[in-house]
Amino acid sequence: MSNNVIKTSEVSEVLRMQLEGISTDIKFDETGVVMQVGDGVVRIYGLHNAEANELLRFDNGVEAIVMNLEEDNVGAVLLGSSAEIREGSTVKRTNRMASIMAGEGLLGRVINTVGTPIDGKGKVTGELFEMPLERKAPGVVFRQPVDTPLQTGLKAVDSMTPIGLGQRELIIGDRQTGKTSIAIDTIINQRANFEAGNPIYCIYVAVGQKGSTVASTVQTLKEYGAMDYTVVIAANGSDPAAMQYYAPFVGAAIGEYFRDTGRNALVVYDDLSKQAVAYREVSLILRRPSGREAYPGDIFYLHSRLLERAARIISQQEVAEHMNDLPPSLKGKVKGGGSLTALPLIETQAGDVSAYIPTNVISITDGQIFLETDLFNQGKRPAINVGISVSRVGGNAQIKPMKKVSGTLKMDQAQYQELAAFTKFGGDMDKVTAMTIDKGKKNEQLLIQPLHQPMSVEKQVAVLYCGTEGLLRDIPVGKVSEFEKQFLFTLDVNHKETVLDRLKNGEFNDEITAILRKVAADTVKQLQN
Amino acid sequence: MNTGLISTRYATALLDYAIERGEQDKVYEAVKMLSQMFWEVPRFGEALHNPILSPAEKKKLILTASGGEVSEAWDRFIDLLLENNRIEKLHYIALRFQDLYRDKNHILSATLTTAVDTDKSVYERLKSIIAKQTGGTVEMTQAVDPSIVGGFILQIGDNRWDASVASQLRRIKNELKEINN
Repeated sequence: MSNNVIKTSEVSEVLRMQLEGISTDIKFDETGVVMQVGDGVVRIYGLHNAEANELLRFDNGVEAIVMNLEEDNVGAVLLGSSAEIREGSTVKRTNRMASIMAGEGLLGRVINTVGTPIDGKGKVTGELFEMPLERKAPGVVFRQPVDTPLQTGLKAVDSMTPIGLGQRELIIGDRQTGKTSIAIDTIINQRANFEAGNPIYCIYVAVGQKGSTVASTVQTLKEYGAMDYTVVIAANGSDPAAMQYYAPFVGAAIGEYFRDTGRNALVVYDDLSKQAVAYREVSLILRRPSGREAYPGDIFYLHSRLLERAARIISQQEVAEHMNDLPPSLKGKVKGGGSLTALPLIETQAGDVSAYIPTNVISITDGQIFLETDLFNQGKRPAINVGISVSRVGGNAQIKPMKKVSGTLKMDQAQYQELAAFTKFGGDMDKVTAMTIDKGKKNEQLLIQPLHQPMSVEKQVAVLYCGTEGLLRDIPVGKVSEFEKQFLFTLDVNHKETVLDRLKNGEFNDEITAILRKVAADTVKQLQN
Repeated sequence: MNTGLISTRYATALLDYAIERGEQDKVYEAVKMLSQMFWEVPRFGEALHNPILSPAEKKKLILTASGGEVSEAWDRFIDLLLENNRIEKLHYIALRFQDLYRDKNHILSATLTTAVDTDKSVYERLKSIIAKQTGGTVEMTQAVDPSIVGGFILQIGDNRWDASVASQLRRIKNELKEINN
C-alpha cells in the first residue's frame, strides 16, 4: 500500500520541472475572424498573409487547413469538431504547413489523420521527423526503373500481374470482391522480409470505413504478426470529410519518410473512391465549381499527385541527396535506393469501370487488378479477371524462374476462357480443344488460394510449373488442391536445398525441372491409387 | 468560384464615390457601426438573407443599423446593392471598405481587452506608444472581458498580442497534457 501513495513532493517537483520547460514568451500572432462556419468549413476574414495548405489554430486548440485563398476571405477545412467555433471566433496562423510527424515509432500503431494515436497505447515514441502532407513527387533524375519484385504471396498476382517496388498497381472491383483481402495478404506476406532483416514497411490507410472494420483489419494484421512493420492510418466514416480527404496524404508522407531514408515501403489506400467523395464534399461546400458527377475539376490532379509520389529512388547516393522538395527535417538523412509502392483501391458500382473516378485512376496507375463478383461467387478466389488485369511495368520485376514458368500462363488462361465460353452448350470437341480446356480448368484451380495464406515465390514457381507444363493431366480437377498440398509438402521435406532454395535465388535449369517433374509424377501416381 | 472579388470591387467603388462627394468620413463611420452590428446581433445578418423581407424593409434595417440617414453616398450604395442582389455580401463589403479606408488614411485600428476596467492613463499611454511605433493615427477601442482572467489582449489590425492569463493557463494546460500523455 505504502508504495502506491503518491508523494506530494515528488509530484510537485515533476510538475515544477515540466512548468520550467513551457515557453512563456508572447509574440504577435496574425489573426483572423470567423465569418461563417458550417459543414466542417470555415470562412475567415483577415489572415491576409496566410498561405495555401497552412495550418491554422483556433483558441480552443482545434486546427484547420487553408484551402481557399480569396480576395476578401480565407476558406479553411476543420480537422476537428466545429462545436465550439462560432462566428466571430479568432483564429491564428501557425506559420507551418500541414504535416505529420513520421518515424520508426509509428510502426505497430494506429493513428488518425492528424497523427494522434487512437489505439490507446499512449504517445508515439522515438525520433520523429516532420513530413509535409503535400509534397512534389521526385523528379525524373531522382528515379530509377522498377526492377525488383514486391511479392504479394498470391499466385494469381505474382505470376500474371506482377508488382515491382515503386510501382502503382490499382486494385479495382465491386464491394465484397476481396479488394482489401489482396492488400492485407500482401502486407502479411512481407513478414518474411521483415524477419530476414530487409523489411518492406507497410502503411495501411483506411478512408471512410466503419470503425469496427478497421478494428478487425488491425486484429488480422496483429494475428499474422504484420503489425511489427505496419502503420495504420484510420479516417473513419464518422470523421470530418477533411480528415478523410487528407488521410491518404498522411500515408504518402509517412511512406516518403521510409522511401527517402533508403528503405522500401508499401502504402495501401483503402479506398480512393471514398477519398474522392470526401474531397467532393469539401469542394462543394467551398463553392468550387463542379464538373462531371459533381466532382471538382482538380479531382484528377488530386489522385495523380498522390500516386506520383510512389517511386523508386535512384541508388546513386550523390544524386539522391539532391532530391527535389526535401523537407528540412530530412536534410542530411537522405539515402538512395529506397522505394514507395502504392496499392490504391477503387470500389466500382455494379462493375462499371467507365465511371469517372475508376477511369481516372486506371489511367494514372501502372496497371490494375480487376476483381469480379461472378468469379468470387464461383469460388475463384482471389476473384481476378485475368483478361483485363494488367501490370505495365511489373514484368521486368519478376524473378527469372517465375518469368519462365508464367510466361504463357496468362495467354493460356485467356484462351481457355474463350474456348470454355464456346463449348458451354456441349457438343463434341477435338482433342486439342479438350486438352486446352482441361489444362485451363486445372490452372484455374491451382490459382485459387485461401484467405491470409500467402505463398513464397519459390513454391509458387514450383506449383505453376506443374500447371503450365500439363503435369496434372492425369488427375481429376477435384484433386488439384490435394495435389498441390502433397507436392509442396514433398518438395519442402525432400528437396528444400536442391530445388526451393535455388529457385528462390533465381536459378532455373534442367536439373531443377527434372526433379519437379519427378516429384509431380510421383504425387500424381499416389493420388491415382 | 472566387466571390471574394465582388466585395472588393463594391468596396473600392464606394470609397471612390464617397471621396468624390467628400463624404468618406461619414460613410466610414456608418460602415464601422454597421459591421459592429453584424458581430453583435447575428440575427441582423440572417434578416438580410431573408427573402420575405422586401428591399425597402431591408434598406430601412441597414440604415437604422448604420446610424440613420448619414450621407447620400451611403444611401445610394445600399440601393445599388439591393438592385444588384448583392446584399448578402454586405458584411464582407463593410469589412473590406474599412480596410481600404484605413490603408488610404494610415489609420490603425486597435482594441485593448482587459479583465477589468483600466485606468484612462494606461489606455492613453498605450495609444501613444502604438502611434509612435507605427507612425499613423490610432483608432483605439477598449473592451472588458472578465473571461480572460487577468492581463490584457492587444489587437492591432490583423495582429494580436495575447498576454492574458487565460491564454497562458490554456497553453500550460495543453503542454502539460502533451508531456503527460
